[in-house]
Amino acid sequence: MNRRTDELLAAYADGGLAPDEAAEVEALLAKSPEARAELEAIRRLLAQARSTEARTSEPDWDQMARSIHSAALAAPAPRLAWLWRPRRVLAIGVLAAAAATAVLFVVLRGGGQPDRAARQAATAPVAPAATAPAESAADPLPALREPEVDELDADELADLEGELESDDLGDDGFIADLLAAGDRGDDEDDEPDAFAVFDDDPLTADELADELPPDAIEKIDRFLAEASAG
Amino acid sequence: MLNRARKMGSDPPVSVALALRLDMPILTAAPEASGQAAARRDGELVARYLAGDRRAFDELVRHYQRPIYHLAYRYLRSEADAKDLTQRTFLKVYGALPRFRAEASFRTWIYRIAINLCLNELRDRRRGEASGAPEAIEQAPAPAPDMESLDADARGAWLRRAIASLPPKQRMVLELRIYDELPFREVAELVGSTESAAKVNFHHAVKRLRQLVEGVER
Repeated sequence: MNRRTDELLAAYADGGLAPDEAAEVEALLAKSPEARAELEAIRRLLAQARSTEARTSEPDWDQMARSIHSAALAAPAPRLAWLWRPRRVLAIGVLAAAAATAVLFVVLRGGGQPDRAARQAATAPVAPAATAPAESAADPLPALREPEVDELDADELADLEGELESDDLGDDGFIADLLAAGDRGDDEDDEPDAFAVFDDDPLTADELADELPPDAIEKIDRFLAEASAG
Repeated sequence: MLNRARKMGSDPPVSVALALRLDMPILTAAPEASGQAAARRDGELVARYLAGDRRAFDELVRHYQRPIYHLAYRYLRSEADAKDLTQRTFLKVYGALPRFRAEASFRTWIYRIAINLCLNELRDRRRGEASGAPEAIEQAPAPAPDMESLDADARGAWLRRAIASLPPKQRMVLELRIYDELPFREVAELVGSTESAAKVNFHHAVKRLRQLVEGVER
């Protein structure tokens, strides 16, 4: 028995060879009683091993499926979570600052002064997507959220695919790496727990105002008033 | 993955979502005959989900919760932990489905996610142990005087310990074949090797197991 057929014998015993490989092993088996004995011993061992899968009581599969469904229902809509990955939070912060600057510029140019409610609304974080309405009574489980991908049109999606496939993302192909990690299913551990709060508990405008230093709003008001006057 | 596709000189495959949006055919990996129907069914369910049929995800759960639970139980040896890990696996799948790339089968993808979560869980457990012992490969079971003298349960338990004592890759290949009955092509994808290498790993796992068993039987 040569080394290659020796290595293929176990896979043959388990029915896992391609036809050409199987033919190679069968040619050997036809002329070697030793190989046939070996094959029988491997088959016995595999049969024994198969019968040893750790016995565990079978869970209630319906209940488990319902539990997974409920957890999915409570989870952020697909794709939403990636907004809160660390470097994306930074990018979103930069974009938010740029947007705030633009708003300030428009206000200064227009001479107007936005009221406090409008400012709070502008600074409040985006709440997670609302849960899709439950489906008809005939559906035993409430509806899961639509995947966000449906909200993109074909051009946007094509652009997104193009972006993800390019290395020109400024940060050593971070998104491609992230996707590759996602494909491996191991990106969860890279996500600090601290960011989980954004997924589950976004601040309302009032809560955000409470988080600011007590005189921050007054300072902003004063700054805007001076800017308008100037 | 994209880089790998470039290295191979092929165009990166498009995602199922993009294929749907652009009305392109959805390409799925060519599975062996045994898994072909399942792969086709999974591809259709994923496509249905991405097209807005949210119940398709529940169907995927019903098809895969059992094998994922048993896989998790083999690693974690706790029913509660296996249930928890099964749920976490599906939540990751739920969150990542829009990015699922159809060049791999859904089954390979979800197994990969579950295996990684299991390995992470084991790693966290080891970190939590006060001993700080290096990665411990389970010790080979102590030889019994005679396998035939053991009842079926004891023999099964002994063999499970013997399998668990194999080097990690050999163990994974053996278990994915004998318990999950995956074709070698998918096993190879899961362990990150070629199909030929997976077969060789299987050979070495069987050979080592025989040595252990025959050592006992002598």
